[in-house]
Amino acid sequence: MSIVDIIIYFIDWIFQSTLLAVLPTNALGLSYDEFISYLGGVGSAIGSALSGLGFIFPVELIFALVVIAIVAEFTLFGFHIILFVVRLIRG
Amino acid sequence: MPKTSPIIALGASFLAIFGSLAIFAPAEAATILVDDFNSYSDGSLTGQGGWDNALPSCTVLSGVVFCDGSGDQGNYKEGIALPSGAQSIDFMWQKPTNPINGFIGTIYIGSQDFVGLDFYYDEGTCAASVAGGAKKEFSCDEWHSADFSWVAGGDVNIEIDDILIGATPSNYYWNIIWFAARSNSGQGWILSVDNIGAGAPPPISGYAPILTPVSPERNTETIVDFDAGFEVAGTVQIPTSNSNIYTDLVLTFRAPDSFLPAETFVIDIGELTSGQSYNYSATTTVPITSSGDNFFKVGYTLLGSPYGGSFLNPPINEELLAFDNTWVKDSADDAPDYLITPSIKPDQPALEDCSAYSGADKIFCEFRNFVVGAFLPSDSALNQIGATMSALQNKFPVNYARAVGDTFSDISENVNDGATISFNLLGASGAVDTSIFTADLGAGITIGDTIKTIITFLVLAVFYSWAVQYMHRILR
Repeated sequence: MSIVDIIIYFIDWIFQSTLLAVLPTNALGLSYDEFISYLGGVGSAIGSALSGLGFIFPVELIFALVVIAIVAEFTLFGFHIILFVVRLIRG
Repeated sequence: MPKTSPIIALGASFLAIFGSLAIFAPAEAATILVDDFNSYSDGSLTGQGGWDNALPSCTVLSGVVFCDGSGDQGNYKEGIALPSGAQSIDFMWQKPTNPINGFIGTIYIGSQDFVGLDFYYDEGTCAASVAGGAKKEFSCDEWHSADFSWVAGGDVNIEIDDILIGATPSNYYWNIIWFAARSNSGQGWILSVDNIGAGAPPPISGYAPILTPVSPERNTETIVDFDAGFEVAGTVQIPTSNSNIYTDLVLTFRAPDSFLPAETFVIDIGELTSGQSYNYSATTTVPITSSGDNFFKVGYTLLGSPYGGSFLNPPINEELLAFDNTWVKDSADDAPDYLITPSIKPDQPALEDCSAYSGADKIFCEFRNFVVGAFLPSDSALNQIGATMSALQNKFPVNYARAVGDTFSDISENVNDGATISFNLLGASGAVDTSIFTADLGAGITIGDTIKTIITFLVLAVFYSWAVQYMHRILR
C-alpha cells in the first residue's frame, strides 16, 4: 500500500463517514424521481415553445444567455445569503 | 531523561503517522487455519496436523478427508483466534443409494459458540441453511466452496460458490473449524473435505453500498442482444456502518435523451444489510427503439428501508449507484463520443525491471522502485474513491443540481429551428407561413437572416448591459 493509497483511503473514509452517511438521496417532499419527471415535462414544454422561432430569433443564443444570467443571479443570491448568515451570527 | 536521536524521533513520528492512518485502510483477510491434508497419512484424521475429534474420527485418503454418515463422524481443529477474518473450505456431499429427506451434517466455525452451514437432503436435492434460515439448494456429488467472512461487531456471512446462503451475528472471535457427517437413519452420506484456506475478504467499513458489476462491465460499452436477452451479474456489498435493509436492486436502461428508462429490471436480493454481500445474476431484455438509437445508459438503484420486512417499510431508502459511463448497445454503432469519458485512472509509469541489474545497481534500482511505488495509487484505492464520488453525485443536492444542468443542455439540443408554428382558429387549424422570411433576396440574403442579425445584436447589447450591472453589484 502506497502513501497515495493511504491518503486516498483517508479521504474516502471522511466522505463515507460524513457526507454519504448523512445526505439523503431524495429531498424532503419532492423525491428525485418526481423532480426529474417535472424537469422532463418543463424541458419538453420549453423546447416545444422555442421550436419554430428560429427563422428570425437566435433561439439557442437567447437560451444560453438566459441560462447564464439565471445561474449567475442565483450564485450571487446564494453568496448574499451566506454573507447575511455570517453577519447575523457575528451580530 | 535520556535524549532521543533526531533521526529516531523522525522515524518514530513517521511510524506513528502511518500507524494512525493505517486504520483507514481496508482490512486484509485473516484466516483461522490453512490445511490441504496432502502431507497426512491415509487413515484416521485425529492426531494428524493438530486435528481432534469429539465424534468418531473422519478418515484421510490420498490427501482428502472423508466423513461417513453411516454413523456420526466429525473432526475439529483450533487455529488462530480472529474477531474479523475469512475462511474457505472445499466440500462435497455424496448421496447414498437410497437417500431420504433430513439433516445430514455441518461445517462450522466456532469458539464459545458455533455458527455455519447446516446441510440437508430435501425433496431430491442437497440444501444448506444458516442459523435456521431459508434453505438454499446446491448440487450433490460435486465439489463446492464454502466461504465464511466475518467482522467484529457485524455478521458472519456464509456463501457457497459465492452465493450468499445466510448471515448470523458475529458475537465472538472465531478460532475453531468443525465439520461432521451425521447419521441420517444410517444411510451413509459421505462428506468430503479439502483445501481449507483463505476466504473472501471480510466486510468493509463505511456507509455507501458498493456495486461491483461484472456484466455489463463498469464504465464501458458492452454489445448485447436486446431481443434474446443478456446477462446482468455482479456483487452488491453493504459496508458495516450502513444498517439499512435493502431488498431490491433496480437496473434501469435509459436512452441518452430520455428521462424515463426504456426498461426497468428488478432483482430480488433478499434482505441485505450491514456487512453483507450478494452476488446477483439474471437475464433481462431491452426493447429495440424505433429511433434506432439502440444504446442505453445502465443505472443501478438499491431499494431498502431502515426496517426491512417482506415489503418496503417507509421511510424508503434509495441508493443510486449509477456509473455514468456504463452503456449497453444492440448494434455495432458506437455511442456518441460525448457519452463516453475516460476512466479516472491516469496512465501510470510501470516500475523498472531490476532483474537485469546486479550488486549496487540492483539495490539502487529497487530503492528507486520503492520510492516510486510509494507514490503510485493502486487500482483498488482508485476504484474505491471513484465509487464513493459516484455515490456522492447521487446524493441530494448534487443529484438535483446535475438533473437541472442536464435538462438545460437537453433543451438547447432539442430546440427544432425547422419546426412550423401551428395554430387553431375558429375550429380551423393552420400553420404560420414563414416563407417570406426565408425567400432569397439575392446573394443568399433573406429577410429572416437580416432580422435575426439585428435581434442578435440587440440581445447581445442587452446581455452586455446586464453583465455590466452584475459586475457592479459584485464589486460594490
